[in-house]
Amino acid sequence: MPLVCIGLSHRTAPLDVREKLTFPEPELADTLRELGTLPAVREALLFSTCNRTELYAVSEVPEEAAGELRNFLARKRGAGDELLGKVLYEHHGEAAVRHLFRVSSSLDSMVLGEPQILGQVKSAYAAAREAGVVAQVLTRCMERALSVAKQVRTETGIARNAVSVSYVAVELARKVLGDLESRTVLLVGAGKMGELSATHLRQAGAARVLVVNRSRERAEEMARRFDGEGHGLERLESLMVEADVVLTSTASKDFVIRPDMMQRVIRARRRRSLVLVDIAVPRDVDPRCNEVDNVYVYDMDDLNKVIQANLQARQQEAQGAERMVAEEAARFEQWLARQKVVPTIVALRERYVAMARAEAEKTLASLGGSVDDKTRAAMLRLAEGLANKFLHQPTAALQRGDPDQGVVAARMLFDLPAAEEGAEGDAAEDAPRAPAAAAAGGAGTKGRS
Amino acid sequence: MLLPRLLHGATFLTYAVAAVLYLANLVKERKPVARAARWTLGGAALLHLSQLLADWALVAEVPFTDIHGALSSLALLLVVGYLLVGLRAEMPAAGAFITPGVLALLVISEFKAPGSTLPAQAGVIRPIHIAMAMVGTAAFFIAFVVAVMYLVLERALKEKKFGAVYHRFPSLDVLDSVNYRAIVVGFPLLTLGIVTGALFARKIDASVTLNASHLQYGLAVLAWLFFAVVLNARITAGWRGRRTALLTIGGFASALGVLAVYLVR
Repeated sequence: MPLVCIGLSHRTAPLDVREKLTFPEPELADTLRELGTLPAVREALLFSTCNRTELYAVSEVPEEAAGELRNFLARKRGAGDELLGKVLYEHHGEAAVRHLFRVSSSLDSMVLGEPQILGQVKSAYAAAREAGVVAQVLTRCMERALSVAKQVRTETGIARNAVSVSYVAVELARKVLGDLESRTVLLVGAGKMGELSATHLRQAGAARVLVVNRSRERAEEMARRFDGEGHGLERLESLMVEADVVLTSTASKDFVIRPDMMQRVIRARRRRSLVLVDIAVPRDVDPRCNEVDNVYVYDMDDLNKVIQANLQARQQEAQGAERMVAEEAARFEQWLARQKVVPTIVALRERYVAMARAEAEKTLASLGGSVDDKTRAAMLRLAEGLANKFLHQPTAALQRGDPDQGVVAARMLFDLPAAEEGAEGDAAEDAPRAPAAAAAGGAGTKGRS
Repeated sequence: MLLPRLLHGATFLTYAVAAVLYLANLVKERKPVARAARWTLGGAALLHLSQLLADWALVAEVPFTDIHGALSSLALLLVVGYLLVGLRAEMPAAGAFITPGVLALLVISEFKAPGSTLPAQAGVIRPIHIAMAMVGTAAFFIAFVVAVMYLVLERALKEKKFGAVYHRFPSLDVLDSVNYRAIVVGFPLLTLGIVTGALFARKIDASVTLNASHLQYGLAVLAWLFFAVVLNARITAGWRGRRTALLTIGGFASALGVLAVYLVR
């Protein structure tokens, strides 16, 4: 049973359309359950983030399922055919699996390699499981998706370098100062961006946050958020002697930090390195400060340059990640194809083991009461063992070869009854690695109704 | 004689593989490649050690007391030093500069036949002097490599060039502290090397090697001065970074000069 996906993302739809077609968290459980009742849908999954809404279904009739998903989305969100036609994409089979893997690995994200998507994928999976609309195929598929996403994160450099202003500030500080533990951050001004960067620096281990502002009260107020100290602007020079990273984001029209001041500061701090990140426009730090030994000044343009360089590095790493995803998707499709032969193998086993047992019983009966229990058990084991041995070769051939041909050939050669509609779903439960059996059963019954 | 020859070849080849891996990792950073490079380098060091021990067994003399063995030992000490530094601060980028240096030392040592050059009269002082000098030079070699890396990275950071150097090199802080530690290790050894060298030079026939010895002595003292200034300025005036990196390069060049005189005389 192949996978089907319909959806829209930042690549196909602008924000105002995405807003309209999103499914907020509280509605998720009901929506999923409803998805599960669609006639052609056996298993279902729903991603809804600010950048994408995607509906996945496992179905024996993928074309029908895709139509049902599309109508479901139109009905639920009151979207017209024309709009959906413009923004929706549709993937079937291996393409759908690859898409799911790419999304989980953050290869389809707005910011390549961003880390949030993995958590969102996990919670979408958990919600679908809770709603009871996930069975064998999606369970396996999601396991593989999460595993390949982890592999991509650890084995490629797709998430290695910072691509937002506030994280780049941390990266630059690290490049100069190394470990940020026990370092001091000085925040000059009360801009939002400065605050965000300080938060990241704090998370990266910085021990102390100092804040200076024209208004001392505001400085103290902001410092409280970091467990730090707030001071008036007149303390700037003396506090720069203590700091290792200075983040400036004041609204001042003139430079707040000048080269002569920088010279005095660097002497007073015995030439320990100092990183200044100036995120103010107009700038707060005179660019000539960068000429002072062991002082490193970065303004908004520099930060953007780092972001561009890092995005480029991520793009390069994405090539390797795409390969990993494609390989994993192909493996998953192979597994899925093998599942087709499972009911045939089960039927084959059942029939031949039953035959062997019947023959053994006949022989035992002809021996009359002279057989003790031990011998009896041994005879039965022998019969079953022989049946299994004889079936080993055809079973292996079924698992290896083309599944469609294999099923037809096996049913003809071994005279098995033709597969029933629901038999596949039921047999799948017997197969190894079938979790959420109850859910699978539910989906199976509903499929027949 | 087959075993030592085989060991020589295997050692050189393994170092070459490690160098290729480190360079590949510098071009395109990959954790598995960096890991493979480190293990290969470790393996090469073990081969190298067994090669030196085999040489020792054959010649029945301390292997590093001729210029051939001394250069080979210096290469091994350099690798061991780099691997030891790696336990605290992994710097695969530095491996891309250390390993070609090691290969160069081995090639030069091959041009110097075993048993050549160093006069034998000095007795027990000779191996002590050479051992001090070799360990010290290995430490300064590492200090030199990280000093050069410091200057290159510092320039990239000041000029806002966010390319391969920015992405692959360790932080300035790490480079600076490895530099400092390497000098702290090398400096006392250099001091003792100079003292033993002076005793050693008195014992041998001064007329033959007087000029060369004087030149070596001068260069060694110059190196000592460079490093003394680095340490003193760092401790008393907080000098660090670019200035200490430049002085380190000066000091290492002088120390290398001492070795070069052995090679040409």
